[in-house]
Amino acid sequence: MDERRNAGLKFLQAAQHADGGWPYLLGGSSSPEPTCYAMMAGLDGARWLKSRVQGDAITLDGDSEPHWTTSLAAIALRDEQRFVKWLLTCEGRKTMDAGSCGWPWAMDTFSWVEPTSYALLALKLNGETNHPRVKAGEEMLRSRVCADGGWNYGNANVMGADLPSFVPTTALAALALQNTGAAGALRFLDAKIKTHPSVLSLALTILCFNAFGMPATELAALLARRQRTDGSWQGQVHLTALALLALEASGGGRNVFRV
Amino acid sequence: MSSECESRLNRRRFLKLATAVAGGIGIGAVTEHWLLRHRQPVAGVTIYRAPTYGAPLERLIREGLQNYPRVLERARGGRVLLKPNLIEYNDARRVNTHPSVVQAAAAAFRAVGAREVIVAEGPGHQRDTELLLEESGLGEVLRSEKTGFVDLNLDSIHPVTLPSNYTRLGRMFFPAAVLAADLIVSLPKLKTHHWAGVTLSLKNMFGVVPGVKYGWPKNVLHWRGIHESIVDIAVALKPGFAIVDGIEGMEGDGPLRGETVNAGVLIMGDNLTAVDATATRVMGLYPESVVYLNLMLAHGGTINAGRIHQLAETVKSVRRDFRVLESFAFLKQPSPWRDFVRGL
Repeated sequence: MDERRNAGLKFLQAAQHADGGWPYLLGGSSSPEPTCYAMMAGLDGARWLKSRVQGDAITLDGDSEPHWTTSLAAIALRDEQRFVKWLLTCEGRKTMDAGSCGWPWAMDTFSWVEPTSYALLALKLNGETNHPRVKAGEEMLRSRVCADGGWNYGNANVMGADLPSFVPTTALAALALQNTGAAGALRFLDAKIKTHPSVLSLALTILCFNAFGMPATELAALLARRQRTDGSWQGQVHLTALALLALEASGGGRNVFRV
Repeated sequence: MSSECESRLNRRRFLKLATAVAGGIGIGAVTEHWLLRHRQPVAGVTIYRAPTYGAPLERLIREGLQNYPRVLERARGGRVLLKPNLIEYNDARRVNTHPSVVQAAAAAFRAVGAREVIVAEGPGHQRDTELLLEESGLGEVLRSEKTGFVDLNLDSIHPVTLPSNYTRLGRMFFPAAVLAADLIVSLPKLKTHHWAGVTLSLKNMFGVVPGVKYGWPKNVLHWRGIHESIVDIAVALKPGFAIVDGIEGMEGDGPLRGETVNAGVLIMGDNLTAVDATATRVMGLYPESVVYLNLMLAHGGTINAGRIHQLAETVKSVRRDFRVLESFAFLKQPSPWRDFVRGL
């Protein structure tokens, strides 16, 4: 496993730009999400990430709007309490029929499952487990559980029709609710991951199962086999970092998303 | 889709806009003057019968391209970006542009001399693009043809000023691969849409908007107005050609939960508004009632059937009767200002 980890880290190190950040795809511009995941995997990108802070939030290059990756930055840089402060004040637009509010992808739009899960994880990992804003976010996620036990990216149904759950959204939401339980979601993941073995789905499911104390040895072996000869997974920085994090957790090491 | 109330909100917005446009035509001399200044250019739209995905699609597309010398000129020696509609892996065949059409388009553009052909998409709902590519069958096609794929949700992005700015965003971020293309080709599927009425080559361009900035889904565009966003994107990026996969279309609660219609057509052309207007007619609907098509009149778009040269098959010979949701029943009726548009 050390060999795989070293190859993965080597890929990440080679992909890092001179500015200190990482792109999603080789040759691209530095971006917050891959930089945050590379940092979680143990590499140093703090200088670049801090350069993207405006006010109390992360911004994209050439943009001044607070970005959803502020949640990931709060996980990658635990000592930056300003991200926590911003997350506690940020909320998505309320829908006409929903009481509780989560977090949006972009400012002044609705709440969605993935950014809400990232925000809840960030706040909980920074000790805000019982904050009313966290409770409201948890309620929002619970209100959107689909009939099959997992999560769609948005609502559980639209115009009377049930919507399907997806593996990555379910794994993230379950991670965000790991201290309160998510049994239905774990059953959904266990059934679905066998037919949806993409790198993203495998890595998030392994991290999720690990956080709930469930074994994921077979999934880890499957994920390990997907590593390319250049050390990457899919040639993408954030997937490579995420795969390394999943394999680390599965191998008995730390789980960055364990609350 | 994501939220019922969002859907209601967009429908209300749609009706408000439609009413505003129709009302403006009926009573506004200023609007009339403005529209008369924007006489619709003559456009050629090619319709071929293709009963199944086993039809000789590459040959049809190559033949069709011969009708568009300016497109051929841009494609030769250039970088052609094919933008299919790739949204969901559940019911992939019914929902997405069929891989055979993408494969045929790639081969056709190579055959006419494109230096490079890439397939690019920024799926609007799913972050798991790898799974989407595999489940849709497109991944296998791309590998077998050695065609590159760019996930537009993850590409580097750059701000572009919006010349039309109906959304009031002022500027929008777009992926580098899109901005670097010599020719953008929209490859939509022939479908009804529960918010926009129809989703064709112009609406398909939503997929170039990067998720890394706008999210999954790109909810900003819904808040700023679907019709306004469609036009702003088209005017800013100027996609140069469209090939509509109407071999199997979707009626009813499209773009995801409708029913398949075996329409058996490929529809193509270099004026995307004219292509979409023709495709709308093939679905048995009135394009004059589609708000974004009307907004495109001010930007070189053509809706008027009298100004669209129908090449190969006629609309009448392939027309079907696509079912629409009750809220879009008005698409089945002639628009109150259809005669006025005819005069342009």
